[in-house]
Amino acid sequence: MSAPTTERRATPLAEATTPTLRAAVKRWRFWLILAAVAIVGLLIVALASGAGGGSRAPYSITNAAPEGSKALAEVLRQQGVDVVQADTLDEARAAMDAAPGATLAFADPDGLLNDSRLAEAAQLSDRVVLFLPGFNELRAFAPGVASAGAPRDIDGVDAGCSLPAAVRAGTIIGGGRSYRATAGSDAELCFRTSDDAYDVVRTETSDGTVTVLGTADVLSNEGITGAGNAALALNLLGETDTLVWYIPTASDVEADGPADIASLTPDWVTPVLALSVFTFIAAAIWRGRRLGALVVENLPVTVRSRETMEGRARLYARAGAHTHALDSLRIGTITRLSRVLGLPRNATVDEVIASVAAVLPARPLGDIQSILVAAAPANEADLVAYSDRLLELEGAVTRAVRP
Amino acid sequence: MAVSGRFVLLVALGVVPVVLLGEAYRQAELTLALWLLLTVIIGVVDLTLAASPRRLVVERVLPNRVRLGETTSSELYITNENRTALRGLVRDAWQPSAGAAVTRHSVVVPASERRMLRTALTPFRRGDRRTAGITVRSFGPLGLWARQATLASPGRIRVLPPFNSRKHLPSRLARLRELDGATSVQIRGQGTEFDSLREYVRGDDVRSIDWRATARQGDARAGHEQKLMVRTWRPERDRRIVIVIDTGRTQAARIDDEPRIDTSIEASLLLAALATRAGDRVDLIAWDRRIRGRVTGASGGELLNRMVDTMATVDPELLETDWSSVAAQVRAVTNQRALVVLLTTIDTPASSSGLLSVLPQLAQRHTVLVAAVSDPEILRAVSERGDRDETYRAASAERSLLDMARVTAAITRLGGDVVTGAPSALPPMLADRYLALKAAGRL
Repeated sequence: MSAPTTERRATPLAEATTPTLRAAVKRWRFWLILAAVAIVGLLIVALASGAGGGSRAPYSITNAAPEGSKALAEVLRQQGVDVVQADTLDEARAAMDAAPGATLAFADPDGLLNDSRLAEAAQLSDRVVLFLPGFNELRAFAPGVASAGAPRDIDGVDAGCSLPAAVRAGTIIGGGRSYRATAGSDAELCFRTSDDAYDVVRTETSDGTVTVLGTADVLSNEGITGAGNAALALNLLGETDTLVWYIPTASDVEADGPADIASLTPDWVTPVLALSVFTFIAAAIWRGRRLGALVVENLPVTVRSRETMEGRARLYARAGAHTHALDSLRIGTITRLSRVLGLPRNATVDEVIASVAAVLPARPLGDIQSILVAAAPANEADLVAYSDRLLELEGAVTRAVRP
Repeated sequence: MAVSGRFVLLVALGVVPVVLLGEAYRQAELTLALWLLLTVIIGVVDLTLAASPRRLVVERVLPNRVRLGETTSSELYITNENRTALRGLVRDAWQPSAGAAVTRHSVVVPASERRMLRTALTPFRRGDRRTAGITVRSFGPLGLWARQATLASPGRIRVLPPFNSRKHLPSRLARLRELDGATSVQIRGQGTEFDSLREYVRGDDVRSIDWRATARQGDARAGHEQKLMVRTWRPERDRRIVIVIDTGRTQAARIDDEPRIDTSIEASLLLAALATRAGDRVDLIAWDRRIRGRVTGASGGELLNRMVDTMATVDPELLETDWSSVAAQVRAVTNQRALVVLLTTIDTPASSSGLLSVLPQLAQRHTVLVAAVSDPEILRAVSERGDRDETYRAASAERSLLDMARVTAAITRLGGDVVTGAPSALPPMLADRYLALKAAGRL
């Protein structure tokens, strides 16, 4: 059987108001392209900043910020030194094994390594350059050197020693920490900042030569161009063909303590939670997808007829217009009484009162007059009382006229 | 595109392999990813196998008109032009006020076949109730994913005013026949309009002998027999009635859960039904600041049909009625003397000033009858005086009644006549007033 053709159809296919996928794409093309461009742009920006920015940590050789050391590392590489970055002790050890005799540049500003690891790090190389070491690092790497506090920024201090690198540098500029040699140590002390406090200290230990550098500006991108800073840094670190630049990271911290909850839960818990999220999304699509657009209903104007009356009553109540309210009630009662009594429409109040008195002989005329005209209400209680008496009078007259 | 609850269940069932394989092979994440991929693949396959909701022929069979409160049914014929069967949901998008009993139908239409969907409609509002089209959700054979499309298939049903007051019509028609003399009654139902002269027969009222005609007719000297001639009378016929329905803002107010305009429509329908049987010509104008509806030159059954059709879509506008042009509108309908029935609101002298200003002009040429809905709640509020608030409300109600009385007096003074009544009472009251005017020959 062939497919139904247009000729065979008595009536044409119903026209669909929902756009087809192609039409929808066409309609949203501008925004789709815009979104794609935005995503691609963001990716490019992210990649570029990731490649250029690298780490934000001080002393990091991938940090191009003022406090980083990328400039130094790049210049060393141009000079033929193989600068290897190591983020963990294992990496540093691997790098040292690959290039025996390499210089180790070490700094642990965050104090991430514990004593045993520091001791292991101290064993790595014969030639170590320490950047602004603290007490623990000095104890592990250079027992003969002690901290001498933070000096004022030095400005063009002469080497004043025979260390070749220091001699070539001449003077350095910057600030940081200063160090001194402990008693009985034969350390070489350079760049004196004050009495018995020096910026660069080289000492020989059982593990090899350790040079302590106390001026951060010698390393940083910002300060390396000052005075002989660059010469000092390049000479200190460029002595060997390979430089292992080891700054410990969080991965170096040893995990200890009791087992955490993640290691105790089964593997499938997280995937099941993820599955429940996907199920929730599917259910949201299931319930949230409308079966066609909402239908517009033009609602009629609705006005409550009592609104005017209620509004006026509230106005009376708020203004405390009890005299005015009682007047309205009296006019209504007198109108109805004159109708009941068969008086002409233009009958005066006095005629109505007279007729009422004639119908109700038991009541004194003054009383009727007081209810219908004379008495003035002093307060709202009076209003309610008079209103009740008006009703009662009306009822009495009606009963008397039409028994 | 849409998914079904079945698909959600399928996704949720992934918990079984994730837990089992996660426990056995420690590959829970991989299992989860594979399961999700599997469900999506099954869904896509299901979607591609679903019949296209666009390849349908939709026909609608609708009654043209329905009275408010009555139930009718809309028939929707769906022909499947796909090569596969259509399984799914069809929604007929009627307005809520169309009162559709069900709007969603579960359907199975085999390839190249046709099915009918019947929807019972009980509209609860007057006017045109519409449907824009239908939405079809077509599921695949597994019922997991569905294709969805909205198809244009406009439909309209006109909901006419209910004409509940037609129950008053038979008794008023009986009264009309009594006036006409068609029913034998013991009253002197002679009418007011001269009909013809005829010979006296025994039983005729001697007061209706026309002596002048008698003298003219017979000449005793010529040897003719002297014949007594009597005049016969009949009720007036071929009078004009112009009904003006005010569609301004005051007509939107609800009294006894019925907008004033609905009561006005009921009253005008009863009056028109009665008057057209009595041989009068009825014209209708719905007016606020322009003509909202107009029926002229119709009579008999056509008149009522056209009136309900015209008034079906008229709703009160939030406008102050422009009474100054009403006289011109009435003149445009007829130059003859007519009974002009103004169906409006009598409220306060201030709000009725427009009506009062046009009355002298109308009353000069026509008999004017003002019919207005009064609020039974106001009458009730007058006698409820339990506490302070109720007393103030009673005072306010008295003031409203006084205002209405003043407007009524003003209308009467300006030559009009006034009929007011509760929504259920106004139509018969207006009909009675018309019969009274007819009996008195004042049309």
